[in-house]
Amino acid sequence: MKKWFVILALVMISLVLSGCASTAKVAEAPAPVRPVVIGAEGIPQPEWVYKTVSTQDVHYETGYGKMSDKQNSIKRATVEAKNKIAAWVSTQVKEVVVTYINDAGSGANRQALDAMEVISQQVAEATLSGVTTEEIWVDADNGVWVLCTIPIANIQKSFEPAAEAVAEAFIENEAADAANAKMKDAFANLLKGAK
Amino acid sequence: MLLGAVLLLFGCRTVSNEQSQKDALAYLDVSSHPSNVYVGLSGPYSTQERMVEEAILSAAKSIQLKKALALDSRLVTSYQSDKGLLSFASDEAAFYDDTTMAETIHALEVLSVHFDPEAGAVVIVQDPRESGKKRVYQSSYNEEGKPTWITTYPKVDGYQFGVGSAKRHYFLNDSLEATDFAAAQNLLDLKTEHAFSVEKVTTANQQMESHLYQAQRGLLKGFTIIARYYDRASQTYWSLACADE
Repeated sequence: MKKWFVILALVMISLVLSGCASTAKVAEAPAPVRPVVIGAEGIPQPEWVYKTVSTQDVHYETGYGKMSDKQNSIKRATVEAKNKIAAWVSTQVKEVVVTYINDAGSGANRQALDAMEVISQQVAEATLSGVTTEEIWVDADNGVWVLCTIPIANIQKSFEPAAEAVAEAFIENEAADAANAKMKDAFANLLKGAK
Repeated sequence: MLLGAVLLLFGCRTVSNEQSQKDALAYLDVSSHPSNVYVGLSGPYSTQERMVEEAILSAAKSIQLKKALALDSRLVTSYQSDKGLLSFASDEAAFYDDTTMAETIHALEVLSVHFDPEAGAVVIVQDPRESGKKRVYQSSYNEEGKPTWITTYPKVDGYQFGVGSAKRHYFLNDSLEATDFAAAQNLLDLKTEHAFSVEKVTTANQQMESHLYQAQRGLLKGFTIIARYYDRASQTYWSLACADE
């Protein structure tokens, strides 16, 4: 009887311990490990291929290309990255236009809308200055990935001539100076906050 | 005047008129010389005088390119969601200042002249107006005997590198010019001073179509071809170019 009692007690203890142990395991489950992907040149896949890179002063975009040779693949990948940068600048400018019009309450002001149209076109289609390819990675299929950068300051410089054009368009408007300053601020803030 | 200068130089040449079995590219390798030493080749012509003249012009052109090389590239692509990439066409150009070419030729000191059936005349010259420095990069080779720069861009502070390749043309000088040009354009692709990009996207019948126009320009300073390689298996020439960052 005593022997059975001891066995029963041991079973109970082990069940209790195993229950605790399994709880602990769940709590301490490690994060899933991302498999290491090795490229055609023996270099592991860098993080920037699948994860957005973001800093305060530089905007990053990636591009991918797979053509008949590496140089053409690089060309296509950089073309894609530059186009993404241009699209990003264009989006930011359009956002400034909408923000400004809402903020200034000038939705019905045709002059303001025309001026905004001008700045939107000029900045969005301005040339991108100083796009640099920082990294290149070739995947196992010989597709080329590039990481391109553009300094935010360079985009702001492109904005200045267009802002002057708008200032001229607002010449008859009482709030010309204030509107121009507000618009410049809005653009600078959006660029800072939209990486 | 130009012809006079060429003839004068030709008269002072050190000729090694050997028709050796040495690879034509080996004659063009000036990596062991300081940075103010340049090489020029002519390709085959009917006379040795003409070959030397063309080779000296080619070397002088390298010096002019190093001073400043303006690059322009325009590209159009079309993409359709159900068909993939429909077109990818580029129009590329390079410009350099040739107004001081005669002055450059006058200043050159010819170090050697070789004749090769494939390369024509190969002239190695020195520009005494420039101080001779150590080259920024020396090729290293992998187990297959190929230079490592074909797969991995060299990294040297203050310099940027571009790699170009081209299939073999009929004349060696044409092959090398195409390869060097591709390397220069590769430099522009990797570091673009000014780019303009416009994309038009339309959707119809649940298909997306995109047309992209992109133009880019840049001015390279210190452009130099620092290494070359010929892959016999694929009949492809490779050039490694470097420019100031």
